[in-house]
Amino acid sequence: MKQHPRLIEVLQRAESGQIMDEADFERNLLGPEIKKLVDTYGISYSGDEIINCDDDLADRVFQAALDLASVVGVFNQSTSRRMVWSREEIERDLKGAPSVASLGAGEQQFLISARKPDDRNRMSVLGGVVGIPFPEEMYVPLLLSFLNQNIFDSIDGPSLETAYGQPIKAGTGWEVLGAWREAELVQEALKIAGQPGRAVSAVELAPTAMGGLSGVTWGGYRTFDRHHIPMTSELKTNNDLLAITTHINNIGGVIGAYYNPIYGGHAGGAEGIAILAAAGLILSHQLTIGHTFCTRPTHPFYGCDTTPELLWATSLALQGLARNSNLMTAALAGPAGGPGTKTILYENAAFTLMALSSGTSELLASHSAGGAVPRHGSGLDARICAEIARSMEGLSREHANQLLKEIVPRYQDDLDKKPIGKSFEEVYNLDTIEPTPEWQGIYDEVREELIQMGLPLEQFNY
Amino acid sequence: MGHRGRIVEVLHRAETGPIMDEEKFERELVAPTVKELVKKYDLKFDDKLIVNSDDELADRIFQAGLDLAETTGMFCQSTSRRIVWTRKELLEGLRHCPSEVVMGAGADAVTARARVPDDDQRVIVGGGAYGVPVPEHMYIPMSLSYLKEGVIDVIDNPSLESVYGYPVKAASPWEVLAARREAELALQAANIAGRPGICLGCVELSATALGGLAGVSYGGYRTTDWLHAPIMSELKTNYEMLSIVTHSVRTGTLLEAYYNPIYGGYVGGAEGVAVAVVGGLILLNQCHPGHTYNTRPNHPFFNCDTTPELIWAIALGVQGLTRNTNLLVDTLVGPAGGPGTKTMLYENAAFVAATTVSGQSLMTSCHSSSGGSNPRHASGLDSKICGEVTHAVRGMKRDEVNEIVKQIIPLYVDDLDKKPIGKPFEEVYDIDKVEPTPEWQGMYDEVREELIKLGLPLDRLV
Repeated sequence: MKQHPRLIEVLQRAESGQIMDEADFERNLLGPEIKKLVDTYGISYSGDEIINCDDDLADRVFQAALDLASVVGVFNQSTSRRMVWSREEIERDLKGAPSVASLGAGEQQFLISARKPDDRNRMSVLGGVVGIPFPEEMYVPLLLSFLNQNIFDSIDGPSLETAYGQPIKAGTGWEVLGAWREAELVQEALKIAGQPGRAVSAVELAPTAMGGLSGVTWGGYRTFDRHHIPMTSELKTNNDLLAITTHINNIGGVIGAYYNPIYGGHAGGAEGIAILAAAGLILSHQLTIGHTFCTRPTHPFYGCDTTPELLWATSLALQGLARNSNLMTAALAGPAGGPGTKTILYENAAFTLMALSSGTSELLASHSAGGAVPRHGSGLDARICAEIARSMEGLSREHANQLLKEIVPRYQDDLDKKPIGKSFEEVYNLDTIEPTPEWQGIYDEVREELIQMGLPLEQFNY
Repeated sequence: MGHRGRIVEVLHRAETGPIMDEEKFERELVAPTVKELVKKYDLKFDDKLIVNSDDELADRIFQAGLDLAETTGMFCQSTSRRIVWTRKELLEGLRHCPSEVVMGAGADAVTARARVPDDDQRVIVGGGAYGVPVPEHMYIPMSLSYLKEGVIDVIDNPSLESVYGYPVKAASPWEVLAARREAELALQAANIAGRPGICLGCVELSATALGGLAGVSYGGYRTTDWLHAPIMSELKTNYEMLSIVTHSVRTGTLLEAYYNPIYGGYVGGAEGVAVAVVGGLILLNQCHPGHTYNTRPNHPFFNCDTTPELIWAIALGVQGLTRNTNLLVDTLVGPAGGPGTKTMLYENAAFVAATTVSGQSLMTSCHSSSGGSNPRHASGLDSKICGEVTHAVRGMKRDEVNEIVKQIIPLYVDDLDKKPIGKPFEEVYDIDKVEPTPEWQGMYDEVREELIKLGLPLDRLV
């Protein structure tokens, strides 16, 4: 009940805020405001550093994000109204944000905690393909490719291509059935893996509220799972998402909100993305009253978040938030590369080093092959992230920056070549749920390279 | 899942059945078919035989209902397609419908069983205000007025007028919040009454699927409660309702599907209503595969189902179904009269006596005061009379009850067009003690005595 007064306030503002045209919101309010704030706060990307190491700049980005959040607010597409909070309200609510969240149950229960840049505290690692489409028969093997490694704190599954062989249509009974089929397959995988209490993200397939509401109930996803609530680009919500927010608040579920700004769009370049990502997570907190807040800015052509500009922007946003609030931030690695390529491993390693040193509470890995190519995801994609996170706690930004300067050149030129790699069944043996010798060989080779660069992966001990 | 596994096929046919204009479905298919079947099966209302005891007529009605279901199928408003079944499929669906269901949990669980006309088996008594709108502060006292009556086995609550003081808007997050608030209050009332496991009808406030999906979840309504999924008049469903059905199937929640044909509309007079009741419930079993199937035909001017014509039609429809299938049939009494009137008590007695001896498995009551359309016009005593009559008449013969019903009807029939809506709850009950006022209790006792004298053994002990 404690959350209800704020939740009601959210729902009320969704219906009583200023009416505005959606295109006006983005073009005439958001775009110009970001541009102005980039100038006001002197935010500039030089390309000299991939991970920001300047505390003052991180603090300026945070202030700019607070300005942006209080000036622009969130646009509700269902009512064409802007939901706005004063700077005072935003700061008050940030102060009350939870700094610890418990996910999972029993032996698989774990805590996510707020972190600071260069922090020695543990960064949680989620493994999974975060909604990449998969056929039904491959759902359980794919999940097992993550679960069997037993190195991830929580799991995020694929999206189903069909439910019982039928196409899934949004806003219909099929979406309800799709959510249930997904929950059913997830639970089957958890049972096979002997990890019944492992937290899983829910509901992957919820284009409307139907899936998000129906999948989280008796016999389906559980309250200790992570319940995703996105905000759409840029800074937009709608009544479906607010309905899911209401439901998860009602059942006392753990909310994993996320917001993915688009590079080169209304936010502009790297500087604008830094401000918008931070503001988006602040507003996600305001909107969902949630627990963790994830970002995964997207490159419009490569579909990734691993270009030097985006790594810099993301690091800056995460640092700004980590230094100035107790928000539990999260970042999703979205490599352009796919399974079976060295590219993905370099990209994921670089992204993890950035997130770990920038004070992120949780790393999600990974949106392999940009997250858009069906069946292009595998358990080994995320292993490299867990190995780094568990071997390098306390990593400084300066050290991470040096490492990235060696790693990024190894993949940067591949980003525009669509290095989507191979599909799951081509890099894994589906019977034994083990990587093919070829894929394992590539992994070992890159791991060895990283060790040679100074990453103490031989110390990996989960 | 038994017969409920058919939901996948239902969803499939909702998208692949013959396309038709909605208006044409009702005007050019349903209406002429009903008219033709009334003629073909030689159906004629007899005002001397309100409670039919002609088994051959009941069987003809069943055949006519089967013909209707086979010819028209169910119309899906979301796809403008007819969900059609062959006669063989409909019969197969009826053959495998549940003939017994446990409702509620623990010490409060009751079992509904298929019955036949003149059966001596116990009938489950449902009581509550059935969606009559009430303000939040009156929800628990009103619910308790029913819960306190030991004769009531399952509860169906009122609808909230607001949620935390705010208006409830359909298809918005407010609907999600309202569903939760309703469950919260309903469960609180059940606990106060010392009947924590009692089966609760739900979700009263579910204008779209959002309420139905969100209300049945962790901390809310339980799988042992009784989710409702209606079809619209005449013979129409849509994605919202099919989503609720799908949710019920996958959560394993008890489902009550219902259909309320309109007297004088596309189905015509009493004879057509009887055919529609049978055809509609057969189609409900097929398209909304659940556990119990309810009907409450409506008089378009009096908003009731207690006119002689409608009692005849409903009793006949129930007999047709209970003589020829194992469906768990129930009816909802919707009197024109309201609390504090003798009219309502007579109406309820006549309706319940007629439908119970016709073989219904559950008796549900009641849609007080102009068919549930007057806010706050409902009270526990409204249902108590129904429960008492239900137990009194089981085992009695239809012709015997027909004579009694014929004596009761004149006591109220002339009042039906006078809007005898009675008084609101707070004028017929002491809200603090949750007890009827002496005036309302006195009126109840007086009518009860009259009914005993007319031959209804309300004082029987076994």
